[in-house]
Amino acid sequence: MKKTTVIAILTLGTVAFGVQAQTINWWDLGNTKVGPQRTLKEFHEYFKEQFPKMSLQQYALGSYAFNKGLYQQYQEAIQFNPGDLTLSQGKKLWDTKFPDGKSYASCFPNGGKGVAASYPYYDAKTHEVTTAAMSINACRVQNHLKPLRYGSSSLIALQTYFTSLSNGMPVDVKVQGPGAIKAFEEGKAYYFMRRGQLNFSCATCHVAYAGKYLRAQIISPLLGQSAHYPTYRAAWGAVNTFQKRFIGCDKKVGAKPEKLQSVDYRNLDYFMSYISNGIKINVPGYRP
Amino acid sequence: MIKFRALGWGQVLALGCLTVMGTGLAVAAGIPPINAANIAAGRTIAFNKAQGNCLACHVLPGGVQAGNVGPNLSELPIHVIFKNREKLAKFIYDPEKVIPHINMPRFGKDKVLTNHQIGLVTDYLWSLK
Repeated sequence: MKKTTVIAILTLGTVAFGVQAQTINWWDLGNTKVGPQRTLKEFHEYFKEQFPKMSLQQYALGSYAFNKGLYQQYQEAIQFNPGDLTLSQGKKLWDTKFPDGKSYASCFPNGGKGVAASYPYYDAKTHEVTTAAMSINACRVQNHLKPLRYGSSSLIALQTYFTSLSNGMPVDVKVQGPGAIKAFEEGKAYYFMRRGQLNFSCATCHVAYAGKYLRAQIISPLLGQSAHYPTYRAAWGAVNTFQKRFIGCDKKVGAKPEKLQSVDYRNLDYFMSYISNGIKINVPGYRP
Repeated sequence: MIKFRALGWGQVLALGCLTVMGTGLAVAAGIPPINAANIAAGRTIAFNKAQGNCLACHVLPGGVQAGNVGPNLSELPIHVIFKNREKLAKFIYDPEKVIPHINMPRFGKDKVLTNHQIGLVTDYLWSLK
């Protein structure tokens, strides 16, 4: 075979491979490491292709964005969101002065306004993802108080109020630097890892089948999920956190759930929140 | 423009036609003879949320509030795809062995259902026209 023919075949092969690489399905989204920025771009493009008529902001509605009847129910429900009770409890706690005269507001820039939009964040000093619950507890410790138990009603109320101080602002999580990228990639890996007796990953439902029905339930897309937590869920009859929902999902697929604020859950929270960048925060949300 | 796509039903059907090798001699052995009682028992398992819960993802005749993430089993040509009951039973036992990365529980391998229950569900599905 002539040298030129070999080169031509190789070139054709490369072109063909290049075309193949351009075709990305949901599985590839999880199994290619392309860095946070491109991952976000590809996820947003993926959902745009799935639901061309949906604006980015509509993803804040979760499953309510996919059914007009349900959306009407949602609008009625949020007239008196039961979650607002937790919000006011959180405000009361937030405004209560510590024995040293300071308050939660004194621990955060701008009194906490707009801060949660960038949560969770990667702390380059501690080399780990830091969540709202951790920062609230760190604030207490700084002011000589005991940290609150993760999942306790007081901490949930404080997380709710703290996050609501960013309501109307777009999620703006940053992933910069090798440590942050590693945490992000680990969160993404957790999201795509199959687990439990049913052998499902988070992505199985919330990426591949978003907008479809599981029995009578519409599956919410990954995009926008972080923006309404802490949220009131009728199924809980209470407000609870994003990570509490992870526990529920793990249980549903027959997997052993992790503890609140575990490294895996924080990295997962980090990955999911970053993918929701640009979607306006609305806390406490309301869900069925 | 990057094109995204989920695994198409065409692919699922095509892959479903692949010969199932190896798995589940025990499953095949667990297949009871077809009779009305077994078909009814299989239907109960398929509809039961705590057992097969097939309705979570698939439409089945007479099922209410069925999901739509999987193929509509009231329309799928099951006999054409699986050829015989043994292959269908083996598929339900471990679908990933037939279709890599398929989003379906490994009902036998992960002990969601017993081999006997898989046999009953197989009879029920095989009875669908």
